[in-house]
Amino acid sequence: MQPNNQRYSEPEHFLISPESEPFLERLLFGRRHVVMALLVLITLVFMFGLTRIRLDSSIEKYIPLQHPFVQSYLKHKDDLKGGVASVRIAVAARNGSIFEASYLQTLNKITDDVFFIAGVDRSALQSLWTPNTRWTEVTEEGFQGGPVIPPDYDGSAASVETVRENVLKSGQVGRLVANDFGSSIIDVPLLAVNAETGEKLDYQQLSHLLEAQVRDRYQNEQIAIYITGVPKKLGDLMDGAVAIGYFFLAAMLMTTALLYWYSRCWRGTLVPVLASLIAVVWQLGALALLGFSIDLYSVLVPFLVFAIGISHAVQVINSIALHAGVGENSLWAARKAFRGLYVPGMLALLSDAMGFLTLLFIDIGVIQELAISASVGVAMIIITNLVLLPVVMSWVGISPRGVEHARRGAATIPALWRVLSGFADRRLALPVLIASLVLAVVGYQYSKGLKIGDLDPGAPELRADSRYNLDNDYMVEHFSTSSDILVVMVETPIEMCNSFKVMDVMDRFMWHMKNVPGVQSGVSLVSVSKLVTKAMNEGNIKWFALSRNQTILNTSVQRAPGSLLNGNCSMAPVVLYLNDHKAETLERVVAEVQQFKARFDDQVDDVFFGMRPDDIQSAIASGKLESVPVRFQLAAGNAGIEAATNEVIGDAQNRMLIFVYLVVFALCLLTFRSLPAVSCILIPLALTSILSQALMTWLGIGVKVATLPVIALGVGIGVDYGIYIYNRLEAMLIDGKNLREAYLETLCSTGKAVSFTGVTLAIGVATWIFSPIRFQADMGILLTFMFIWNMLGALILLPALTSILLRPEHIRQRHQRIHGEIPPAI
Amino acid sequence: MGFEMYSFRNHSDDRRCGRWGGSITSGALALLVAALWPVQSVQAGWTDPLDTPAETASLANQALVLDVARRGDNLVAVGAYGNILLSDKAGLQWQQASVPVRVTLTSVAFVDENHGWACGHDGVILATADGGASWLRQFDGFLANKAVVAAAEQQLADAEASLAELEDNGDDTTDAEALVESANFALDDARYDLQSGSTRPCLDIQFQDLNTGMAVGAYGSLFITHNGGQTWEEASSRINNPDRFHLNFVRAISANEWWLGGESGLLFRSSDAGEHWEAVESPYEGSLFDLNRAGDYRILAGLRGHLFRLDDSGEWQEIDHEGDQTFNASTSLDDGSLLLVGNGGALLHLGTDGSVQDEKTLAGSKSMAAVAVVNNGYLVAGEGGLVLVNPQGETTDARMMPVQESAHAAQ
Repeated sequence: MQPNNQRYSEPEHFLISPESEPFLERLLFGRRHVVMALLVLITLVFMFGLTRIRLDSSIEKYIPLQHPFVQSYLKHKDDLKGGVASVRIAVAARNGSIFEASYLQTLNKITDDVFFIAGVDRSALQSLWTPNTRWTEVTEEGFQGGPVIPPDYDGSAASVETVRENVLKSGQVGRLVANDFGSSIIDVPLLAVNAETGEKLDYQQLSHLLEAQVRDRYQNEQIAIYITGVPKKLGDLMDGAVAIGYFFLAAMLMTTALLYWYSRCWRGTLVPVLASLIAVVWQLGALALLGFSIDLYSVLVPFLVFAIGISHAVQVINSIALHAGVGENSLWAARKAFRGLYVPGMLALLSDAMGFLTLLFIDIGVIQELAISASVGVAMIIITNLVLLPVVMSWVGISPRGVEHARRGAATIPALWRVLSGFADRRLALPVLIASLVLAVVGYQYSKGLKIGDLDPGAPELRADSRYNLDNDYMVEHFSTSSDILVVMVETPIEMCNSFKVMDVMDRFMWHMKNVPGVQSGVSLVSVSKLVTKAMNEGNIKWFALSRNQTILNTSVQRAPGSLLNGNCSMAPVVLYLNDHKAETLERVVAEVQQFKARFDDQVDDVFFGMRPDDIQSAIASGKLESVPVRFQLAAGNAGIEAATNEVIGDAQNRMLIFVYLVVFALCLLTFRSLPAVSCILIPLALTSILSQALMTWLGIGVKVATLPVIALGVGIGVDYGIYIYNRLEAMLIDGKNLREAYLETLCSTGKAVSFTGVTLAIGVATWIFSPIRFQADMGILLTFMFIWNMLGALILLPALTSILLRPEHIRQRHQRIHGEIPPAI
Repeated sequence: MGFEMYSFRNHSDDRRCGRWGGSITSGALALLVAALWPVQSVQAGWTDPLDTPAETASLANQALVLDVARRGDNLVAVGAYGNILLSDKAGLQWQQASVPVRVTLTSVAFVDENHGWACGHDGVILATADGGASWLRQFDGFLANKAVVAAAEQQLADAEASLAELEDNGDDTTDAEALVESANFALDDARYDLQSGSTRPCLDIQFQDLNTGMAVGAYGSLFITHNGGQTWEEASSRINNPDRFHLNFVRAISANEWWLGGESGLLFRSSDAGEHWEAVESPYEGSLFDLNRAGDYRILAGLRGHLFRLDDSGEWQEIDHEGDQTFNASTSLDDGSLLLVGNGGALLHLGTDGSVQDEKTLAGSKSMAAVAVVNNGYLVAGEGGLVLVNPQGETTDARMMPVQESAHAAQ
């Protein structure tokens, strides 16, 4: 060991005691070969893990499973037939009318083709050609009815005319047939499993099948095809997730180029890139071995891991080059870089990881998996970029050209640094602080308009001009059914979902809800009962009401679709069609339902809900009950699930923000043991948080599953800059420099790396902005903004704060008290 | 039967209940526990629709509306959810009246600006004396059931008495036995309804003056009042309707010309305000929905667009026209001609000579249950709520008065 190494202790931090430091360093660099072999072995294991990676398209991961709405939905999931998993294919006649023999023939062919696609619930498939699409008519003899396409249909003008008349009598206009008769729908309910393979239905594969066998085959000059439905949307999203791979490649190439420009040394470029890639391999491999799968959110984690890896690698390479510049050999340059950086590096990475872990507070599968995979990834970086990287560099070293570049860089002080160093001076600091305060206040005021949830119509996960959303626009425009559905499940005792009291309270509920702004219409067993009661009385609309006669009620719902009551008639859903799924709409509608529920839910023991009619009647007769018990359960349907998600997000929002700051605060305090120091690091972060919320408001991006994690990621990653800068600045102050000098020195070494890091990270996430998936693009915008602002905050606001909050002499005194005359590691 | 405020079920005693412990799931055991458990459950929420006031609704004008009547110059409309809506003669802006029930109302009749009656499902009959601003329940299906049972018992007694008399005289008893049998059936049915709590919808109500009015409805129910609805007399035995077909309409063309019609071509006429009814042979075997006047003709509307006119000679002639939708209602225009509306947006104008002047389908093809003349065109009501139609046949939705304005207007 060289004697001059004894001179150094660690800088003013306490995460690891000074005594352990040489031990760690000796352990890693003393047995370099063993360490290296171990790391190669681990890499091989995780590479094997890579082969196990699979893409997951299950819907459950995207919804808050613990939320009471979702719990109720899951309880009745099997009874809510076609509630989620159904695809709608609109077949449009480009000439404007579906009442043409050629159109009907094509529709017939498509219906047949769809019938044979694996996973389609064939018994429930519906189009004009399926026998379950019927017309009815009241005549002197009573009811008449039949399939809309008559059994003797032969394509002649006369039989096409019959079809037209039947369609008008079928009540399907607006539902199966477009309001303008320009298209008709094939409603394709799906099974949960692929009957042929016995495996869970693969939506991506189904989506491809629909594209190939329906759209590609039948769309032409006469026919246009539009496909919507949750499974189709998920399929499209999965396709979009694959495109993310190319963005990763692009980000990697750009980073490599930048890194070379920065270091002018191929060894110093490729080793960090490789080390960061290995971190990605470890992260993905570890997760695959843990049994996790890749989804639309966790597919972004490799970007983060790579970008964070690069940013820390740059610090290491920068430090090695500087040490090599003053004449150290490869080994000692690497050792000293390790000694100077492992504490702030580990602290920064731990803050990242802990910040990510606060995402666990959001009770949504994809976010929790994102939290775990991102923290695992960041933890991996501690090994790959703080250990593997310097160990490898201790062999390969920086090329003489790179060393020369670093030396020249260190010798000349760029004008920018001189300007920036002025912010550590009180004269310039004050205007900066005032400007920041103004920004914070304005940003805070503006961010009050921040909304929770999705703010745009259509499928918010995809872009407004995506194929899916264009198809969805067509459906909304031409058919009467909204794509935003809130389902309220009405629970009753067994066989009593159509008893008069239940039906009456449902009727009352539906009318009440119909008057709530945002609710278009509603459908339930009550609608069927009224319709049939009317029809049974010669179509006289004065009979469009619920009958108090139980026999009539029973008859009226005898042929109700299975989606409107469950098998033993203990649950009947009320389907509410909403104008949109904006958060305020959902909140208003849900609040009205809750109020109604509070008033009309019968507070009786669960036991009554398991009873049969005779028992209920005797309970009523004996005075135990006043009437048939009933309760309203929120919520199913896409709007119901989204309302639950919004509630979870709204609850988690502040809690998560508080926790992520608490964690970062605790870690910084533990390390630097000084409140002014912690304030200098955290205040710039807080400003970025406020401004990013203002940006979200401005761009019309709501707080949602996709954007909430960004807050944690932004704070977690953003704190790195502050830690590196402050760590260095403090060391320089202890070294006896005044604040401005110390900051200039900091800028020349760490500052260069920090600014480079900010740009690299921003480039990595900025590529997401081009993702076909809307929320990935939103995340990209926000993260790019946060990384740049955090960098600026650390370079400008942090020194300004130190000039006000720090007392350099206090720092020096304390250091002396603890470490005597030993200077800090640089 | 006298006027009485009838409370179907008392909900005033809401008792708190303790939550049950344990997790007993077996039905029988649960019932046992339920039987032994001393505390009653709280179920304050639901009240019978007959005991529940209609909800104030901002979209009441868009809900199902089933009848419109004139009250003086102004208009009143009734429909689903107990909605009663009031407007001036323009029919453009409506406000909701306070109504003590929330059952679907099917018919409304006013004799002057202030006095009116409305009837509907559950056999409910409401009355107002303040132009429709507030309503009082006069009668309902449960009272009607009791009245029907009483009448059926009386009828059975009468039938048995006359049978006994015939037997005593040794006359042919075939008819009398049949009468007893049918009276027995009627009584059974009436008792079943009373017990099971099912009710008969009232489908039409009509008053000729402040005192005399009639309400008809499902299963041949016919009630007559001579005291403004304070008592309603069960009168279904006055018409020959052994199968108890629905009575769809009752119409007073004048005090001595009442008509009554219903399912299966049932058609009756009374010239003494309902004391006696004579069967009129119907020109059509299907259901009849409306009878009104066009010029000197009587116009009869049946299922699937069948229209007939009755001239002085007493002959029915079918009116030839295009559509085949059922006409549900009609209103006389100032010139004595008749405007009919029906299902699927069907609208037909009959001249005073009983000939078709105009026939069209309104946009939207919604079924209509009522029509009234307003300033500029007419007001139709039905599935699509309240809709104004101008002379060109263009439609606009009527509006609800903003709440503040409504409150102000109500004062």
